[in-house]
Amino acid sequence: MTDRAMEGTIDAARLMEEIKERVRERRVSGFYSEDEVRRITQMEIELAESAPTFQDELEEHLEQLNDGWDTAAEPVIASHRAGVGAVIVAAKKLLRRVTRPYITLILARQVEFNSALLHLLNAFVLPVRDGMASLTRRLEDLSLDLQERLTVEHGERQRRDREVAERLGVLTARLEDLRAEVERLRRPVPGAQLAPSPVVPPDLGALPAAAYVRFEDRHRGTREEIRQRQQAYLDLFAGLGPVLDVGCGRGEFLELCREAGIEARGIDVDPAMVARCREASLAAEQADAIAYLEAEPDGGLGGIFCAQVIEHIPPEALVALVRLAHRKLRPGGMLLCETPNPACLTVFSGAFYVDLSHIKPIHPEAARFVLESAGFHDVEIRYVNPVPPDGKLQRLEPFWYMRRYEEVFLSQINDNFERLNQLLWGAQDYAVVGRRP
Amino acid sequence: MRRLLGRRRTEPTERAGERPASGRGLRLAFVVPRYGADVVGGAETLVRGLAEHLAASGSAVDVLTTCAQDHLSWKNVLPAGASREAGVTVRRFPVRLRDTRRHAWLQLRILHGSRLRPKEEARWAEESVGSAELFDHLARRGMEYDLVCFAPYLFGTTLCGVPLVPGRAVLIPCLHDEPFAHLGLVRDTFQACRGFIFNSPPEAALAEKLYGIGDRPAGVVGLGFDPLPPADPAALRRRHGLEGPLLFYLGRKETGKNVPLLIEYALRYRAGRRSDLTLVLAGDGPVTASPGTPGVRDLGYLDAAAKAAAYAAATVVCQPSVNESFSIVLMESWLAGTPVLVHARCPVTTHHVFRAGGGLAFDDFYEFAEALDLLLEDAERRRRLGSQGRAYVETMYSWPAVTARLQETLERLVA
Repeated sequence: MTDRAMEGTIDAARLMEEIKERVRERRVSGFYSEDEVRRITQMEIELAESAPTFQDELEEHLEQLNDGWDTAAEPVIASHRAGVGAVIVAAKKLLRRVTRPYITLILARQVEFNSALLHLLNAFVLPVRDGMASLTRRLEDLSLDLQERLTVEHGERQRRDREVAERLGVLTARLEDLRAEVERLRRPVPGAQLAPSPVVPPDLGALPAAAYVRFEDRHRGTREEIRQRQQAYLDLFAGLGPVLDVGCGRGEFLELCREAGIEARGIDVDPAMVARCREASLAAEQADAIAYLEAEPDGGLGGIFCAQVIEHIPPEALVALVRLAHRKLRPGGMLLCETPNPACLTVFSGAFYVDLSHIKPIHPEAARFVLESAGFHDVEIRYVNPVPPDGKLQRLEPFWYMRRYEEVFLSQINDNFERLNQLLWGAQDYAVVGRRP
Repeated sequence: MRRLLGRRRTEPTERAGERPASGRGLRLAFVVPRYGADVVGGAETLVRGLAEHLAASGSAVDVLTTCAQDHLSWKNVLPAGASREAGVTVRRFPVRLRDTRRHAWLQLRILHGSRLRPKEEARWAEESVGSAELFDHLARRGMEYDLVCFAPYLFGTTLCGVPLVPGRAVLIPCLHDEPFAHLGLVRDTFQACRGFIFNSPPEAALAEKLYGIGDRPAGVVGLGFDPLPPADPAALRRRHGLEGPLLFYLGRKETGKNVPLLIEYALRYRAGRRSDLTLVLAGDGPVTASPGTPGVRDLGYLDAAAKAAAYAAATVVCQPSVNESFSIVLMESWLAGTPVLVHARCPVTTHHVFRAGGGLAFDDFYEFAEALDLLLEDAERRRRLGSQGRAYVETMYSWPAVTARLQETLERLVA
């Protein structure tokens, strides 16, 4: 250690001695084996250098030809010797003058030939050389442009990925909050005082019936759409007539049954709906479901179809409806209730709350519980009416030039997208189906 | 040209006219092929720095230059005529039409070691870059200046301009040992100068060896530096996806700067020692590794802010060139506190490195590898070498220090 080193400074010269010593030691100790030396010296290193050697060579040769084509040109006659030099020069000039006519005679054809050949060469070589140079430049420009564009795109993509990841984080956190909120709201509040409902005169608070038909036309879907959706249930009711359609609405399912040769009739609380059914010659009457079912003979029905109804009635009425259905179906008969699916969160931003007459969403497991406790067997949940794929978060596809870690990152983003899609944009409706043993 | 030199050459000791005794209040002219804030180049940066600081300290400074902005096309881009730039009067003259093919051919022959006839040397100088109006201005009004400083030695503006101001020509050669330095015409130009301003002691020693400076006045001045602008090295690493230890090269990427050697050494080092090292090249120029070579990245040209960030982001900065008369890269690297690795066969860079204690030198691959090992394995050692370098720049190459040396040299030159 030198004094400088002890003061906290480093002596670069001293370090260099250390380096030279290390190299010596390593050489002596065989650290740089023959093999290593061979390997590193043979390692292929590709350097890209714009070396215009071919063009230079062309130019060099061409210049020599252009300088020397005129073989008949007068040579410079000179001498470096003092005194005698002048005599020598004079003698040489005389000789030159005497021989000039003969030499010129011979050389003239050569000069002519050289000149023609050189003209041809110049005409060919110069454009080729310039063309090559401009092509090389163009190629360089293009490759630089490409490199620059790729770098910019790569940066842009990384920035977008980061943004997506950040937004996903925010969304996930909000989703968790939402889930916790839903859970909290689902829990009954022990001992809580319910706010007294305001007393509303029945006529004032009732929704106008004709208006509801228009409403349903607009928000539920057209007749054709509903027919298409309910077509899926038709096979289940084959051979199960007579079928009662509770809340038959515009009568789409009754129509399907008629076409399939299944005996069916419908009831609805809404006189306007019933009137529409009758116009289509469908068996429908205005009635309250509970009262109507109570009046039915026990075991007289083969099937009960009840689409988009149970979310309109309070829980006690649902329990009563299911129990009555069980009693009125014959053994082997089937009850099917279709309702919005609360496990698909988008339902709450649209379908469910768009309808003022909806009272309470029914969770699929709650529906199953109600049916099973009423004595139905083989209770199953069928998820229907999925959100179309273009309404969901789209998968991000990897690019060919992505790195491995970027692909892993992308697949994590896609997994998260999948979970969000499940939760937010799953099946919008479900049907709970149970059979009387 | 030879005849012209022979006729016009005067004794270097000849004194012309009355001159003020102090460096301040001098009437000075700088003759440089290109000049301006947007002009890239070592000698050009040097002259602009010196001219502006002299003007600020009270000297009347004229810069005589061409309308060209880049040294490849030499196109007349800037307007001809006088303008005032940062206190300096800049007089631009149009570049004379050049026979570029002739010049390239002669240049190639010089580089390949051919011996040119004096007439060919003169032709080469005339075709490099020149301006009839600029030479006319020098011939007619050159005597109005106390001193006319030419830089660098290699161009027509210097080689054809020096003989026009006998007794007042001062050369800032920016010299290094290269084929051009051995031309007879260059020797004549050095002979014809009154004195010299060198960038470093090794450059002065080379000029003495090649041309014999003798007792003519000369001083070592160099370029001054302001602190680097604030930089965000982490952002640079993020933007270019750079990780691990970074060996930086900043400057023109050309064979003459020994860049192919650096690429070869860095790849060898990666193959045999640390595969996490990345060689990062920054700057213009034709040489680079094939795109996609693992361990080599080419960032291309960087602006001042990005360059400051690059110096700070670098683990080590390497200057492999053996043809340097000053090396701005070393100084800027040290200002960022980054140690440097230089080629042991460059007298100038090794002079700076060992005077400063700001880095290490290598003479072959094995020394390169050991030196890099020493630097990469110890962050504290790097920090201390870097800060020793910074102290050197701040002491020797701050603008006040450089201006003081320049004033002192000019005083001796006019005495």
